[in-house]
Amino acid sequence: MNRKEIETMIDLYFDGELEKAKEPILFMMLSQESEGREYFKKLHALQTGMTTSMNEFPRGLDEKILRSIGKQNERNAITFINRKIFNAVTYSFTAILLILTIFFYSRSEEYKTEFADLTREVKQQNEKLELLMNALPAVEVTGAYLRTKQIIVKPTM
Amino acid sequence: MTKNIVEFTLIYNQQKTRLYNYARKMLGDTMTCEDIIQNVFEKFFENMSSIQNSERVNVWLFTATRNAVFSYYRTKKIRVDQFNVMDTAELEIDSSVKLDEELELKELRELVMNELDKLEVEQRDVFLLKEYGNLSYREISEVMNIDENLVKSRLYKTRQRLIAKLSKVI
Repeated sequence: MNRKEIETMIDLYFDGELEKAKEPILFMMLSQESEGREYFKKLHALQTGMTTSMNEFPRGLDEKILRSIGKQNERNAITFINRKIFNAVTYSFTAILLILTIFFYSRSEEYKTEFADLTREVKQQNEKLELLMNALPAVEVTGAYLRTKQIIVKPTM
Repeated sequence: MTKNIVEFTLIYNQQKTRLYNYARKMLGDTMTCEDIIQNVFEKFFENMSSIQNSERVNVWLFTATRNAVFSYYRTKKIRVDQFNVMDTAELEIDSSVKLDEELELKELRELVMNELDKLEVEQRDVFLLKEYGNLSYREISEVMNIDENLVKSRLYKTRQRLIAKLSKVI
């Protein structure tokens, strides 16, 4: 393995991307290669320098962010409640409309039945009247109106 | 709602220092950095429900911060190559800096920071995402929208450059 390959392997190790199986190979090489050991040491120092260079998160900013998120959360909660109320009203209105629809539908069905009954009754009465009319005896109408000024109606039985 | 705020607080506490340090080192301006970090976390809270996979949170936060940083560069018309202070051939330790072999941690830290400021913005970006963001190569490639191998090679070159600069003291 050349120097660059060893250094790449060391980089991978420090970045936590080196396969576990390759770790013993790396350490074996480090025990033999002084240049590799030197690079390992330098990289470690660099990483230490970086880790310790991290600044603490400013407290003021922390408070600012958390306050703003809190407000946003409250706003979201209010919107959520408003939406819930709106949904409840909409659902109630829909339910009332549904009940009214069912009520009017059943009423119309009743009217339909009543109308059908009445129609049938009228029809029957009409038939009865027709029968009565047909049951009356035939008549002969004769007359000499001009002469006697009488009209003679004779039933033919 | 409560679940959201609890989840947010957990993620916020995990990531805030890393994000802040990344942005601060990329910008060098504390005020702008604080504004950016606040905006990123507010945006994150708004979009939390749409970020389904919790493993993606890291990538989302760093991508949003990085976009904000580069957007700031653009609005301020800061040319990215302005950060390219010196070429590799010109790299030399400032002779006025007297350093002992056993340099104290504080001095080492200051030196690393100085050298970091002199790096090209792409190199600094990848290096900070790795060191401060603690992101994997794949995550960095997603944040920067570049190939994973390019991430590795940029990281390697940056380290070589920094080690070369610091070789006299470490």
